[in-house]
Amino acid sequence: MTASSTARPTVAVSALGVRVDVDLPDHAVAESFARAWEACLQPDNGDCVDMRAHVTGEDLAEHSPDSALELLTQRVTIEAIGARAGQLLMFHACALADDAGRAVVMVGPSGTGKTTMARTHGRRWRYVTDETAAIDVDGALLAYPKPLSVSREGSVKAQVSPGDAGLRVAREPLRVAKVLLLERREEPVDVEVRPVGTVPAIARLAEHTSYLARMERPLARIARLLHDTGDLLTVQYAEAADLTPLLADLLGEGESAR
Amino acid sequence: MIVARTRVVDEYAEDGEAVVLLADGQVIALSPLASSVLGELAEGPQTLETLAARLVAEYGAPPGDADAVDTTRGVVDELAAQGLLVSSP
Repeated sequence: MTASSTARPTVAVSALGVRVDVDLPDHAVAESFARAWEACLQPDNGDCVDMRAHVTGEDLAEHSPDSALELLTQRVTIEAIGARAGQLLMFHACALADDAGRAVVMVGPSGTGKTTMARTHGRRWRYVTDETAAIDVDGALLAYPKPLSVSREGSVKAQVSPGDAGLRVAREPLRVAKVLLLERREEPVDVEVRPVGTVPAIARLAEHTSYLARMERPLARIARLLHDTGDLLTVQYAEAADLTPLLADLLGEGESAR
Repeated sequence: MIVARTRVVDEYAEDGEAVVLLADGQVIALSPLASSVLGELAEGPQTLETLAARLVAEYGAPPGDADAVDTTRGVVDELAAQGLLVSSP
């Protein structure tokens, strides 16, 4: 973070392997932003990524701090996804990993409760992301431990760092062990898990990707992921906590059981 | 009627099932019959009658009194509605 008192503050974060330089409207917002993004801060001296993007928050001076942070978090993700279009297989998904780096990717549309899923299980297992699960051409899953958007009163959400949310952050290298497609129900239901064959699974998963058409042979990329991890499982459930036994099956017992 | 494929961005087939990615980002899983239709048109446009004859050679005549050309037209219309084929009179 550049802490000059006269210039507009800038914070550099690492998102999906992209260095994103974020201009903040003032120092107070910069401090909150850096805290929320603490698990993704880009070290000033180390430039280990070769892609850069830029987000400006200068237009957000009139917004409340929570609102400015929410918009900035969205902008960082949008810029990072755009920068990696055509390179990474990117799912709208949350992901959790065990201590050995084996991860479960849980794909679902907005409103499925991906953030709740990550918050519920990110202590016992490790938090990878609550929004974008990105897989490179070698099958490695990228950690994207962005802030979690947590509802406060009103419509604006607070951006909370995984550390402040009490979560353990996953560290790379990460490999996908299983892909789940979340189907949350409003009414109480028993957890129901169904395998889906490769070709229909590709069609189901493709709906929840970003920039698929920009990739080289994207459908074969999804097929390879499924060949490596076994059938896609659709998971019908009502509450995030209902999936504890399934995750324990897939990732081992995790921290609390030791 | 001449039937032709539209350009797809990508396609993937496995165990007789196929899925295609259209330019607008839509991904469509195809039935075996739909896969065969697209396969028959891979080399270029065909008349509806030729296409029907090839499908009969592969699957046999449609059940009952159904006419092969009419049945094929139904499949072609369905695939055209999904943006996978175009037909001209």
